Amino acid sequence: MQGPFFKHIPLKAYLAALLFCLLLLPPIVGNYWTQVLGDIGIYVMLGIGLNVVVGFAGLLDLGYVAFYAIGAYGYALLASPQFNIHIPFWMMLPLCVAMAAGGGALLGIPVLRMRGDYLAIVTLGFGEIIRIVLNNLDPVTNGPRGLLRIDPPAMGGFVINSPARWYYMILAGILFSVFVADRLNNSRIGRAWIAMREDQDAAEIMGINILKYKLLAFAIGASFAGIGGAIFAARQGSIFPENFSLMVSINVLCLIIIGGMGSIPGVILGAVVLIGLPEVLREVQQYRMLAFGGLLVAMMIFRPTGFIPSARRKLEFREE
Amino acid sequence: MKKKLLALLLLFFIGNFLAPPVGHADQWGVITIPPGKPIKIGMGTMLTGDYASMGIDIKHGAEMAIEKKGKILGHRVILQAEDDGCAGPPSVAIAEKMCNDPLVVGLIGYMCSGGSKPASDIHNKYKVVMISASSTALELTARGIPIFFRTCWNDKIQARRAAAFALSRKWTKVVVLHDKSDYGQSLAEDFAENIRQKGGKILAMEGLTRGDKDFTPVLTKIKPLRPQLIYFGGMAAEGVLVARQMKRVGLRKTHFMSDDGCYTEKDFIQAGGKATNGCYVTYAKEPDPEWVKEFESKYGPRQTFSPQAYDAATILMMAVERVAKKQADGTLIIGKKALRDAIADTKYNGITGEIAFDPYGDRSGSVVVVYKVVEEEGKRFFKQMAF
Repeated sequence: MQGPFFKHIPLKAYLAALLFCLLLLPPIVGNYWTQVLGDIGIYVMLGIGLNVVVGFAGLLDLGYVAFYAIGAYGYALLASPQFNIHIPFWMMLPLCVAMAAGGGALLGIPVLRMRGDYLAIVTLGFGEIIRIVLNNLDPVTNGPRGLLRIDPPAMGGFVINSPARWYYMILAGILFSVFVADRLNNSRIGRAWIAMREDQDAAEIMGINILKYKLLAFAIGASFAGIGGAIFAARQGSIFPENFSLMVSINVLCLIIIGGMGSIPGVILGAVVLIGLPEVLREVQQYRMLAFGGLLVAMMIFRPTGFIPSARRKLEFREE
Repeated sequence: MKKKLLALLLLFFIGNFLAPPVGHADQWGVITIPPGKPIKIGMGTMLTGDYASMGIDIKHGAEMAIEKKGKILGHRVILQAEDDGCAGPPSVAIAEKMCNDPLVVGLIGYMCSGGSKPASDIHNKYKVVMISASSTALELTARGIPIFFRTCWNDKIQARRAAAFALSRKWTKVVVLHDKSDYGQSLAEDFAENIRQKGGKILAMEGLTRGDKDFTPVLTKIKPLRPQLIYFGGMAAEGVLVARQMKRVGLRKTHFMSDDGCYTEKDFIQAGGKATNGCYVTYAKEPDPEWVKEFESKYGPRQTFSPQAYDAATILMMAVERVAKKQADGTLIIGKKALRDAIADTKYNGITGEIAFDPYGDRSGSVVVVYKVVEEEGKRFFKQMAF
């Protein structure tokens, strides 16, 4: 956007062009890459959700996978032959969001008085507890054998079951998430979060209800993961507790840091790099993870604030 | 103008959304290999991570079979191996990749049942056959998916056989451990069930955590129960530690028995040292010694499932050879249904024994053999037990 010509084109036009290109992608790149793009998309949603907690409100949450698992298992239990209950996807979606948000608030209450590292440890524990419960609660969750034959979403007689259809559905989910997160960030709530992130005591003195805004951050952040989880379960068709390991939390946190904390475009780019790159690197087979790790280290050395740092954070860095 | 564009866009979007998933009109459709193009055999196995040595061993097995074959009807055969991470999401992505590759005739894999389950749904959608050399979960064949086959056994058969062996040795007081994985737990529960039915007693059943290194707390808890046998359902990484730490906490007279996950030279016998002497594992019939010699001269010590992978690749290539129709210009036409049917009535004497499939894709009459780790003339190895 440097030249004089480009200055006249509004940001909205760029976004519209980008969206148009995204809509065209599936038939061009084929089913395999559409599937990978879907995987990336789910992580974008998770990233946007965790970004609310970590980036906006500054609460380091290492157990984010718990809400993802709640969303996924919530849907899978009520839409599979496990209990022979088959509630339609579209009815379950708000329910999954509510369950995940409830889980978020539940985690939020005991950690209200915690800060920094202690908060991280408690959330880490929470994430592990959920996974271990899912793994051990055999009569309900079928334990490590997982839940199979989960219903795909359907609209009338039209079933979402191909990578391309999922792609469009996930894309719609991302657009919705981006919209919500962006509006939140620029609202009174968002400003309260930022004040809380910068200095909790000062924010409280200024009249911000810390209790309310912390719980809100946890609950809203978790609800994005609830949507992501329901989509993941319906898309993969079977889920296992091992799909919700600590690595998922770490990956989501990594993509936020790589992309630029607090920045929504950063989160999207971070997901593309972190989830897409290992697929691109399939060519090098055994050395895939090695190459991936090396690239990550290089990136953090050359762009320590992330790919697209948020404007506010960038300013903070400049001042120092 | 703007509205028209928008309408066009919307139309395109809806069109894409409504487009039916790739399908074929007649029966299952065909695979066409144009002249000069190779026939690809896909593979999903673990190439990086905890059980990579087992995964790479599977790859070597298939690779050897394919190199031996070289060409089918004038077309080069190549193996395209991908890292499935022993888990669902990467396996599903690989399944989409393989099933959409027009040159892939079938796939060997996936390594773990947790990957094979969701991936087999994708394969079934595209009707691309898969033969797993190592996924033993019962649900895979119980679901009636026509394109799934395996050259290993299923957990039920292995558990029944292991339990029968334990009872034949009069080990009736048994503790069952498992690694809380899909594989380990199913096997352990089946084993316990078999023991109970035949009058044995299960003193305790405990789940361990994969990736843990110290199992002495649970073993110490078990010690006062004085079990005659500890059966472990799981992989070598944990199994070998249980076998070692048993001795350390003083369970010296208790026998240790495990499954094919522990049938590995490197990760069990070598990693465990002398503590593994006298341990029992179940596995298939020892493969053809000539083959083992050839394999080991090429890739070093073999692990677990390379013979099953070798046989799986051979069966797939034989079936391709049988059903492929060569056109005048060298193009190969392979009917997907015909290929599946050809695999289904395989009658083949492979290096792991007679291979035939039952209607569900399981190996009929698959043989599970009990081995004991013994030390003879300074060499430590798995010795087949007469049973």
